[in-house]
This record gives sequence, structure tokens and C-alpha cells, in this order.
Amino acid sequence: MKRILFLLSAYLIIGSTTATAQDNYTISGYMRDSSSGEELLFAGILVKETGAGTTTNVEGFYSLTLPEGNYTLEYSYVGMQTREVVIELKQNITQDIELNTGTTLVEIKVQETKDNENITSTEMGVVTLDMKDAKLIPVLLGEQDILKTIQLLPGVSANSEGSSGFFVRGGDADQNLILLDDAPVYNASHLLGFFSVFNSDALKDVKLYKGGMPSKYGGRVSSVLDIRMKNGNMKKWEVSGGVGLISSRITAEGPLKKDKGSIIISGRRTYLDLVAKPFLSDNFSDLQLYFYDINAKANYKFGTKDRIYISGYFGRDVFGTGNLGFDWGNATATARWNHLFSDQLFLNTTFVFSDYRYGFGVDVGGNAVELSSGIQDYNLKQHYYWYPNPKNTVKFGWEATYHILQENNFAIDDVDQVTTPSHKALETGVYIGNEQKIVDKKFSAEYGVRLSSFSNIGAFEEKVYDEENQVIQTNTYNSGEFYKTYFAVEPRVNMTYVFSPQNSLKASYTRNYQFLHLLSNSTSGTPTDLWIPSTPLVKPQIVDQVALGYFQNFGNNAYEFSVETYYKQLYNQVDFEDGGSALANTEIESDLAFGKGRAYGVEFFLKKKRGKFTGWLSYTLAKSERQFDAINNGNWFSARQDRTHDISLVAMYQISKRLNISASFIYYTGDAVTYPVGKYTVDGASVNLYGERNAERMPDYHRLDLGLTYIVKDGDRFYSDLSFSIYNAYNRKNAYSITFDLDDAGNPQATRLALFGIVPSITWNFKFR
Amino acid sequence: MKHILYILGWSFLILSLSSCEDVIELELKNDDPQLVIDAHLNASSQEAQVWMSYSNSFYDNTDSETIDDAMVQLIREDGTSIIVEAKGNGYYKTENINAAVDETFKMQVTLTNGNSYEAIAKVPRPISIDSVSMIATAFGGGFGGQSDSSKQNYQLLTYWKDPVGTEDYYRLKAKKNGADLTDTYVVLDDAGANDENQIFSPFFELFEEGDSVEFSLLSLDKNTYDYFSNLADIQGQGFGATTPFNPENNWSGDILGYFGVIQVDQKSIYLPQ
Repeated sequence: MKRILFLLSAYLIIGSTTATAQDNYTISGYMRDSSSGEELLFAGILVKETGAGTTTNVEGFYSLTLPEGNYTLEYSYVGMQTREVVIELKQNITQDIELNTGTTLVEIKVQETKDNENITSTEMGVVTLDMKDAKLIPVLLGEQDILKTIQLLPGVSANSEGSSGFFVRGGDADQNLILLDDAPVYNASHLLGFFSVFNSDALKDVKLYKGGMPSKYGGRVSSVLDIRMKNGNMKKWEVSGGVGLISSRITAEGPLKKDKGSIIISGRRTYLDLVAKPFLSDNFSDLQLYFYDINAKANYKFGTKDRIYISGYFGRDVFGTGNLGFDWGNATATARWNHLFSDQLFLNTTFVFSDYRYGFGVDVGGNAVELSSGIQDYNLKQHYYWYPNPKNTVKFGWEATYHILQENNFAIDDVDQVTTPSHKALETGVYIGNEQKIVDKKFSAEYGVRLSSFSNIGAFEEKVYDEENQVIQTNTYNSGEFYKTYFAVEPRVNMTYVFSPQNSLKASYTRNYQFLHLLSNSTSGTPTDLWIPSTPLVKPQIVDQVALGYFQNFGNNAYEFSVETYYKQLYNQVDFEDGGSALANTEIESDLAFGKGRAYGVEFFLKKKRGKFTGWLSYTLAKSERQFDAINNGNWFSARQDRTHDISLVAMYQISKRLNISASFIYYTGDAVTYPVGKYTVDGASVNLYGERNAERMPDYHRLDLGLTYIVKDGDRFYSDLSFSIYNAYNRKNAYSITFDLDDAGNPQATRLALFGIVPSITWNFKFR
Repeated sequence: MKHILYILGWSFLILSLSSCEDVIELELKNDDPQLVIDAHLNASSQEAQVWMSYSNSFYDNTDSETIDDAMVQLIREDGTSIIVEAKGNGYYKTENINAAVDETFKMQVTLTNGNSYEAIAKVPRPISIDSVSMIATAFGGGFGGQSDSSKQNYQLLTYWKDPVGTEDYYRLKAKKNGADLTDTYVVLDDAGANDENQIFSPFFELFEEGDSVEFSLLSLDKNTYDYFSNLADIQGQGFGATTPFNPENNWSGDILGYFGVIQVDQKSIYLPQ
């Protein structure tokens, strides 16, 4: 299979190269924002004479190889003025292009020619988020959060009320690969899930693949969220920030040397504890409830062919009182080297160190009780981009990750009481993919394959359990011994047939493997969830997905409409047996159940991109089910996130140059849950008798948020705005959980917990430039 | 290990900060009534007690139907049996059993319709509470408004010694001012014992000055431990809830309840004003 794919792609690439071999020259370079010098990712380049074109890669680099001749190139990017450049191509040319921000509607109109990227690209199931849009959408407590904004898109829904965790196309929350500048993020949440770790101020580009993931990505089965940080302003120093009710943030960026290197540092701190203190009794004088995070990134160009990036993220959550506390966080460090071998071959080499750990400590009667877990990753990868001719863009590369997973260390007064040996593993991937225009302007495809492996490495003592969860055998592996290796072949194909510049049909098939699994027995995304590796017992998760989509633009590309349908088959799913728990469990593998799943649905999306009134409407009709022999008597049951109907409506209206208003409305079918079907008494206490797993539904969820942004000042040197938002405007009591018990008088009752009622907030944003 | 769970439970209290709770009416399905046999042998008092009834619908506020005409026997390892006598209202009891540590008992229940159920349990070793200590705590007054913030709140810790070289299982129960605290199951094994093999456990409940509290430390057999830890898992609803399920038990048929053997020790504490 893989051999055939290799041969096929080699044939296609070489075949089309040789056909146009004589007198070909390459024009290549970077596209940048003229005001900041930031590279523009996935920006369009169109050859007007031939209609051929390309887009920049994740580093803002493009390369076009054309026969000798005179051409008019059109460079465009959403929200920026399109630029036309006339070139005489009789040798290889390096052409860096800077675009100006389109400030008026008239100027934006210029870019219409290349505004149907959504129709012609091979990508489907892909969501890109305009960071400018994201700033206008109302949010909880005024804290901008891209993870909450993507939840408003079709096929993506929130983990639970206020949560930054998300589900994609019926998959589980741990099946999303979240990359921040190529570094994996294991827990994307702060403060028990209410805020994401991503500080919007420091972000440049966000892209979510719900399906059709390119072969470059591996390791998770549901989706890929690829987040790119800003590089920092190359032209001049800028300081921006915001002050809100519960948090403040500040970002400084500027050139290390003009147009050669830049740096950006961004920090954020919440102070919910300080805000809450006046409302609490004196007993809580020592309450701590906050998080902070810092993003920093520096880059420097050495000559015209090399560029080095160094970036880091550090975030910590602190939650506790004098005698008890949670403490968890992520730290990542990334070093990246871009190298241009030639104007047709681009290399990106990245080393990532990532450290995610969480601890929980409490003072019990003078004894310090501590529980801690963590994951450390050392990751090295190379991504090559090869532009042999305008018809093909080849991406290939490899990566290797050394994982160290430490589970459940339990200590009293710093003396380890229970330690579970750490799991060590090596995960590798080799991939190749080609994006090919097979029939000019009509039929194009992106196809590739990824070969992955995952090896458990000793020293480790593996316990084997019988059906009664008793240890029947212990296998001892030596230090450095590879005691179990899984191999995987992951084919990925996307195809696009363009009927006209206004409409197209797309299809995709992907197979994804996942070797790390998150065990969670709670719904709240607490930091006590546990990551475990694939082992001889726990097999890698596999998901096959097929999708078909129709894309239509109208109104001069001002409106986008799409309908996509998908079917997913999930294998080797992992869950707890009834009563299994990750917390402080030293024999987790004895508590696991293995099963399969299926998810399918159809997503409708209508978006208005231009004009005073913009926004979108999305509707998803979907089903997601699981089957485990050891759960629910082996019968199929609905996944918790099986939300039959999911509607999001987002509207933004520009009243004047200074005033924007916005609103978003969400409705989805209540989560699948297990309700009591009776009750009985044991040992003097009432016990609920439960029915089939997830056979009932929580009440439907719906919520309206309102926002208003007023630009106070927009001068050359200083900008400021005030942003007001009302979360849950009509104060709907959406159930976060429902408990069934007896009240004080002994009467049975169902109690609904609603996390957030109406929450108004105000934030002041500023920028010195 | 379980006792870390109770410690964790405290922290979720903090989240009640911005939330609101209210009682709602839901339409619930009703299963047919199922047989419940709630039975234990207390090896400290040498009594066996059994309650036999049927489950009823969740919103049913009346007493559930009981069974008074079953034949209940305790069978010793040597095959001799003791009748557990019906006392009416679904309650059965017998005394002076003379159970010894590590002795295995089988309970056999036969209904008048001929259906018969069996369960086996082993007598655990007796255990005694060393001490109960009180720690003034910040929790309580601020959130939820359930306790009087003008009064000092206490966290109570119960200490005992864990026998070396055996797997032991415990449950801690409490009575506050004479009333059983039934909202929480505090169930733990000996994995959390410290260097001196001492175990301490908080009780997942706040006490305040003026309370008198009686703790019962139950030493459990493994089946009973598993059963009550499952109940504890289900109980932890809301934050950190598991998907609810019906706990497995040691009865031979597909019925509810359990049969366990326990040892009990008690200690009382008064929280001065």
C-alpha cells in the first residue's frame, strides 16, 4: 500500500516536472504585513495570465516555478490590500512582498479575485479563525479565548459550560492535537477549564482540522488545532494590553534589529481571588485562586537563507487556601531553524521540550499530603517544503518524540508513600504528502501517507491482570529495552473538484492513530485527569474518517456556504470500567475497558464575510456512540457529547468606525447522561438505582451573549477601546450537573447546578505604537 | 488511597462561588421493583442484621415494600447454620454468633417463591481508634451559607494503626449530635498509611463548636470495601462525578444490596464552645 503510494506520488511529481523542464525559473519569497513585518500565513499568490497560483506556508514562504516569460502576480490576504506585481521571469527571482492593512471597505474590495480560496483549495473540514473577528465576539468575563470562539463553528462543541475543552465531530476531548508553535499542549485549560492557556494577544493564526488532516500531523485521532504565535513587530516597538475585571494582560514587541530580528513577550495574570475576597468571610483571607502565563518568542534572520526562532511558554495555576492547594501547569520551549536550500526547497527544523505537570497538596493535621503526575516530551522534527512546479507542492519530513509519563506520585511530608514507575516511550513518524493540481482549475488533490511507530521502553514492571483484576503475572523489562512496539500506516487523501470559481465538491479519507490516552472519570476537566501511554494491554486508538462536502460562494464571494457530511469509525477506545478512577490509582490498567465507537453527522455553514454586517450561522446534526464489552452490558450507548442538534449564530455589526456590536447564540441538545430509574435503602441511606448508561438527556443548552466595542481613541501613537460583554444575557440556568438525592426532610429531589448566571464584564484595551 | 478523594472533595466546595443550585422537576423512567438484601454481621457485637425490601421509584415518598417471610440463615465453615429471625417490617436479626477473625460465613436467603440467594464474607481483624483530633479550619462560613459563619469550624481527623503485612479495608462513619451522617461514604484501604503505619482520615463534613460527634471505625472485608467504594464513587456527583452505575455486590443472583462482615470501634469527641 505505502509502496504504491510512494511510487505513484514520485511518478506524478517527476512526470509533471519533466514535462515542463526547459527554461523554467522560480520566483520565491516571503509575504509580510507592512506595518509589523509579521509573516502572512496561507496568503494567496495568483498568476493572472495562467490562473495558476499558490499559498504561503506556515512560515509565510512561497515559491512558484514558471516557464520564462512576463507575468502579473497578484498577492492577497484577508483584510489586506491586494498588490499586483509585474515581473519579467528570465532568471530565478527572490521577491518579498509587504501588504498594507485594508482600512476601508473600498480597499478590501480589491481582493475579491482571490477570495474563493475556500472553494478551490483541497482542504475540507478545516476552520480558520480570523483573530480580528475573535476579538469582537462576546466572551465570558471579557477574557478573549480562541478555544471558545472555535466552539461556535460547525462540528465543534464545548466540553461543558464555560469550558475551553472541546469536542470535534463526536470525538473525545483528548483526541485533539493542540500545537502551539509546533509544541504539543496537553492541558489547554486554566482554572478548571474556564480559560484556555492561549493568550489571544500573542497569537497570529489558528487553524483547526476536523478532518482531512495532512500527513504532517500525527498522534491524535479527532482533530488538529495548529496555533501560531506572532513573531513580533519587525519595524517598531509596540506595547498593548488590557485591563479587565478578573484579569489583565500586557504584550511588548519590537525589532531586535529592524527587519532582521524581533522579539515578543506577552504576560497575563488573573486575580479572581482578589476580586472575590471582599465577598468572602475572614476565614478565607488566605485564599489563592489565580493563574498566570507568559509567552515569549524571539527570531533572527542570518543572511537570506536562515532564520532562528526561540520561543517559550510558561503557565501555572494556583488554587488553594492556607492548608490545601492545586498547582499545575505547562511549560514548553521551542527552538526552530528555517533554512532555504534553494528557492524551491524550504526546511523547518524544530526541537521542542514540553513539560506538563500537576500537583495537588493538602495540609492534613500538620501532615503535608501531596499527589503529583506529569508528562515530559522531547521532540525533534523536520518539515520539508518542496515546490518543484506550480502544479505540485510536496511536504515531507519526520519527527521523533521521547515521552516520559509519570503517574500518581503520592507523598506525605515529602516522603514518597506510593510511587508508580514512570512510563517511557518513543513515538516516531515519517511522512510524505503532495498537493497537486491534476487538471488545471478543475481537479486537485492532496494525498500522502504517514508511517508512525510507538515503542514502550524499560525499565518497567508490567502487571498482567485476570478478569477479577488480580495480578497473575509480572513482566520485568530492563532499562532501555524496547518491550512493545506498535507500527501504523496512516493514509490521507483530500480531493477537490471545482465546477466553477463559485462552487466545488470535495471528498476526503483519513486514518489517524493515537498512542497517548487521557483517562478522565469526571466531566469537569480537572487536572486530576491522567494521560497514559499505549502499552501491551492498551492498544493505540485508530479512527477512520470519510467526508464529503459541497462548497458554494455567492454575492461576489461575500457569502460562503458549505455542507459537509462525515462518518467516523473509532477503534481501540479506552475508558474506565464502572467505578474506575484515575486519582491516586496505582493499578490503573486493571480498571480499564476497551471498546469501539462510531460518529456521523452533517454540518451546514453560512458565513457573511464582508460589509458592515458580518457573521455566521452553523448547524450540526450528528450522532456519536460507543460500545464497550465491560460497560452497559456490552450494548451501544450514546457518548456523553452526543449532541443531536448544535446551532451557533454569530452576528457582528459595525455601527460606525468607532462602534461595533455583536451577539452570539448557542443551542445544543443536552448531554447524554444516566438518570436514576428508582431508589432503595442500604445501611440506612438512600441509594439510587440507575438505568442504562447515557440513555437520558440533560435539559437542552442555550445561551445568548452580547458584546459592544467602543473605540475611545485611534491615533497614530495611541489606541484604546472599551469592550463590554454580557454572558448569558437572559440568565438561562443551564444545567452543569444534576444530582439526585434526598433533601433534609428526606424527600427525593433532583438538584440542578448552574455555573454561570448572567455575567456582565468590561475590559479596557490599549496599544502604544 | 481513597482518602485522597475526600481531601480533593473539599476543593470543589470552592467552586460553589459563582454557581447556583435549584431543585427541578424531571420526568424519570421507572424500573420494576428490584429485590434489595442489605445484610451484615457485626463481629464486634456478634450480631447479624438483615433488611429486605424492594426498590421503588425515585420520586415515590412512601415506604418501600418489605419482605417478612423469607428464610435467612448464616452458615459456618463447618456447615452448621444459624437462623436469622424475622422481626417484622423487613428486619431480621440474630445475636451471640461467636464469629472469630478470618472465619468465613455464608448467608443464604430463600424467598417463599422458591428463589434463593447466597453471599460469602470473611471476618476482618478488629481495629481501634487511637485518637480524634480537631483542627480549626477556614472552610464553611464563606461559601454556600450552610453553616453559621460566626462559629468556629473544625475539621476532624481520626487516627488508627494499620496492621502490618495484611491488606486492610476501612470505613469511617459519624454521628453528629446523635444523628447519622449518611450523605458521604468515607471508605479507604491501607495504601495511605504513613511510616508508623498510622492512618488518618478527615471526615467529609464540617463540624462546628458545640457539636458532639461520635465516630465509628469499621474494619471491612474486601467485598464490603468494594461495594461501599462504588457507592462513594457514585456519591461524588457534580464536580468530579463518575458516570453513575449500580455497584456490583457479592449476592449470587441479580439483586441489590450486599452481605458483609465488619468489626467496629467507636470514639466520641465534643467540640468546646
